[in-house]
Amino acid sequence: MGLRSRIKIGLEIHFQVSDGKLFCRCPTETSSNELFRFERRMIATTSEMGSMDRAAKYEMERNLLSEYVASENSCLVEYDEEPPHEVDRKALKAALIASLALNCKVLNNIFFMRKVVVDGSNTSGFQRTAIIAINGWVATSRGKVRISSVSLEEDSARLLENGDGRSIYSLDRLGIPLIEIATEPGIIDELHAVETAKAIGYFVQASGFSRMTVDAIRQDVNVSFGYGRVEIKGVQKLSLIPEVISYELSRQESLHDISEKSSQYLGFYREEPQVHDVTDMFRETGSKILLSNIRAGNRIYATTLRGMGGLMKSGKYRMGKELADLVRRYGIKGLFHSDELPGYGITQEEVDRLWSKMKKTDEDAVLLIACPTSLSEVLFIEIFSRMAKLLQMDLTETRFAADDGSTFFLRPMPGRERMYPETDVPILRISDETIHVMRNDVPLPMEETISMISRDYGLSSQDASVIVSTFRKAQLEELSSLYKHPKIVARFIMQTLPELEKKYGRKIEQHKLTRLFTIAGEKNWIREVLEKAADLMLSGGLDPDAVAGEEELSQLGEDELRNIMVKLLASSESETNERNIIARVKKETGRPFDAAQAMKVYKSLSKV
Amino acid sequence: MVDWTDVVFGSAIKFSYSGTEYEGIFIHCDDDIVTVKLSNGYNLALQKDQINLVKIIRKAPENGEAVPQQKLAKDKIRNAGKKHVSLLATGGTIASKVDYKTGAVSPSEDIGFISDRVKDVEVSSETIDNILSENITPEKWIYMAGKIRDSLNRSDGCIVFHGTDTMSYSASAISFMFSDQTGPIVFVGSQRSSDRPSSDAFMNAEGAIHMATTDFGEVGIAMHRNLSDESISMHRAVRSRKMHTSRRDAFRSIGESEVGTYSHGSVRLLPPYRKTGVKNEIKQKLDPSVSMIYFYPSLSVEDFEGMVSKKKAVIIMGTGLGHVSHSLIPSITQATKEGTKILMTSQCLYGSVNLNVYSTGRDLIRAGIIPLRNMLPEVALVKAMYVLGNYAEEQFEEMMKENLRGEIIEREQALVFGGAD
Repeated sequence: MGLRSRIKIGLEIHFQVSDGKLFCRCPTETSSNELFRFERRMIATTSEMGSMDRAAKYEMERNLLSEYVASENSCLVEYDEEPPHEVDRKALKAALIASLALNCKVLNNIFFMRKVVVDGSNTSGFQRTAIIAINGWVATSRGKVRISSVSLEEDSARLLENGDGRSIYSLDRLGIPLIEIATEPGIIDELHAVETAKAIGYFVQASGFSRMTVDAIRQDVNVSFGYGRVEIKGVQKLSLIPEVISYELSRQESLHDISEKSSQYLGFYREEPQVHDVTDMFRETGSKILLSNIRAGNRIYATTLRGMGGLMKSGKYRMGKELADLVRRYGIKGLFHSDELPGYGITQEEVDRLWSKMKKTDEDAVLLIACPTSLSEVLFIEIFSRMAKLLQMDLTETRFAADDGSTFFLRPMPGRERMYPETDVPILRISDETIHVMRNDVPLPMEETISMISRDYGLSSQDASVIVSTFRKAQLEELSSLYKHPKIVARFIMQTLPELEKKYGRKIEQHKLTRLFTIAGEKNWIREVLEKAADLMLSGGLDPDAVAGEEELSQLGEDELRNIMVKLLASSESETNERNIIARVKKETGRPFDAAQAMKVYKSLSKV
Repeated sequence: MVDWTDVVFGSAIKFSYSGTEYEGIFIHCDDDIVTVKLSNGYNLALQKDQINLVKIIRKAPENGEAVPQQKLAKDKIRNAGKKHVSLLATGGTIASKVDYKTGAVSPSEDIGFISDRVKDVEVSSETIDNILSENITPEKWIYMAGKIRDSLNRSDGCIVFHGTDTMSYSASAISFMFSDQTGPIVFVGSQRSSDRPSSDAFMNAEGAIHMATTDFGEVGIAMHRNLSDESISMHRAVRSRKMHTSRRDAFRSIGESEVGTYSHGSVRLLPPYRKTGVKNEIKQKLDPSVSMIYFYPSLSVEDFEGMVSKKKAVIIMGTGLGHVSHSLIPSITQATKEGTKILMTSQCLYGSVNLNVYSTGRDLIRAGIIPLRNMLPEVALVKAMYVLGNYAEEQFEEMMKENLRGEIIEREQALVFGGAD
């Protein structure tokens, strides 16, 4: 039936700008020290048009308590205890340059808006955002992709923990400037999406202001297969884009089949769904989840979903997950449906009694939910309206991408009601002259940059191309200025570091990397010492200064090399020769040494 | 050809800009900027000479104010059998909304937002003014006092929505004017306007309403206790002061502990406080012929005399224990001889003035100055207006020195300096 043929893809790419926060003068980087905590509850309010946004309303009904951890790089502005200061000039400049590089029309009046977000990720209850430029394009191998807007906005607080009706956020990320670039839905397919993201990313990175940490670049994928736009947030890596899209395609195909199948059964709407309190049926249950809920004072509710039998979870049908995603957003974990019962400690006997009470036929499904009484009404209204919406194939919503490329429901798609003017920030005037001057700073096209990098740093054009297309140009430039061996830097950032980070499952923060290369430059380390230092930092979770003093890091001197080799030559059962000597020395010592020097020592020894 | 002047707020329009056509909602137009809202909610402020109006797709209902508010002010939130609190709105941030035309925050009469919050108290509301509090005047205090008395005559307690800038002045004035009261009078404001999801207005109002159901027979100010939406402090009006420009917990009790707290649905009052009485008695005269002088090095005799002339009373905020430069002492002597009351408070805010310690102080006493111990300067100002308005002149000094409403702390204790947690 070809959902795929109707694919429409658009991207929203966010780049953090590194030069301090957008509306206060706090730095972007911080230590992990916690200063204190405070708590807030958000209330959704109406927009300038007088109505409440459905996404905001949905978030408010969850009525979560938000707890904030004040970091050292936060001040009263992040606590929502002081109005915003002036817009950070460098962030604005970066956004203007990116806009010009993407062939956009820069607006002469920058008008900040408040985008209402009441999930607690902003202490103010809104995100400040302004469109900087509109109506541009970026060239790709498959034609121009139109850019609808370039915006400048503040990043949200970083979620640390979530559960039990409480979300805990760190304020370290709140207020970091983000440049958001949105394309029109003119991207042809998944690979084209990756190419487009790279092409856009190149220009922003090349402007030289963007931050180089793990989550510094985040993309949202907008995809539609003819059943409404789905916005998938938080796609962390470009390589995940195809997986996310293909996951969404199969999800939509499955929903399409469920929808058809359910309507053959005369459908979900055959009668108004009823909710029953069945707590008493489970007082003696063996199900740990139900029992702990009952003990906590929660109730067990059941409802019969007509025409949904076998569609909750069997084969490719997954309506159960759609509902589980929803209730999890309310902090509810106890949801079971008939396709997975008996199970989870619920016996056949309990199931039989429940089916009979709920008058379940083979065509029907039964949903079992444990939750507080106070939440039950809102929860079932949301469940039934989500089911109805999905069965009608109105799939518009906001989803979130997990690390494995799967996605889950986040909230309804926000509308224009969630935006209203940020009255604390005056309109910024951008003169035509300013725009004209900025044009000088627009980066060169990608090919020219690659050849420039290749020439200036003596790298192969292939390496230069990888550096540029993986947004590591600024990093190469910075680290090479500290440690004057660009080839080693290139190899380190493209190969050694990613391998080590993968091996130890943790990352080296940018400021620590900068410090490491500063030390490397001062001490004129050889490559092996540098690599060993990075290894020690990752394996031990150490700071560069701590690592620099480690005994293990000191390079083997000529005498030490000679001693090791003498021992090797004397003791080896098999012959030590020119080909295996380096490997054997490595095996003997954990300390780094210069291979060329070792070879020289070996030759002098073997002459004797 | 349609023109921008034909378009009313809220109309759907098609316009062209930078070679592309867009659809949007018309918001506003002035001499050189047209503001339109795009379908994604962003407002664009475009230069008038660069944007062309293609057509009006759908005209908004006449009068321009387009869509009705979803939640309108309810006159009464009915909770039968519960305590009844009356709410008087005078304006300020707590009752403010964004004015989408000017983009500024301005007062609004919509106070319906509290209706969802308070289920256990019956609240009736009345808007008696709609100003930002810097525009308050003694005449308005007199009007306010009458309205509060009327409210208390038909309810268990009264809360007053007020701008925070001058809330301590207003609450102190009301405090002096009520010599007895049948229910609590609780002033409440907010530091973040109620159009914001993070507004403190909701929690502050909730706390104030509950404070107003107690036997607190004084005037208090209820605001956030700290940065969290967790607890509300009530300060005695005559010892309260706004001590921060923007924080939620800007209000502090100066030199004493707060008199009450509200959290998780319940109020805790911290005695001693005056209990509610049997009648509402007010002395509703205020004589505004009082000035306040903040002494500073280099304050000239000429400027000083300008602020003193034609006033019946002058509050000086002196340095430290209550001092001003020697050069001003002849002017003070002259003024007190002519019958002007000159009173001394301290810029330090914390602690008492004491004119016996240094020679300047003793000279000031000889010059006829009246020291006001640890009374806050702003409180002294409104108290002087109250005393001048309601008592004979020969009673003035005695009344000013008498502790009428807790404005003087008899025993100052060590642990209440600074106020912060």
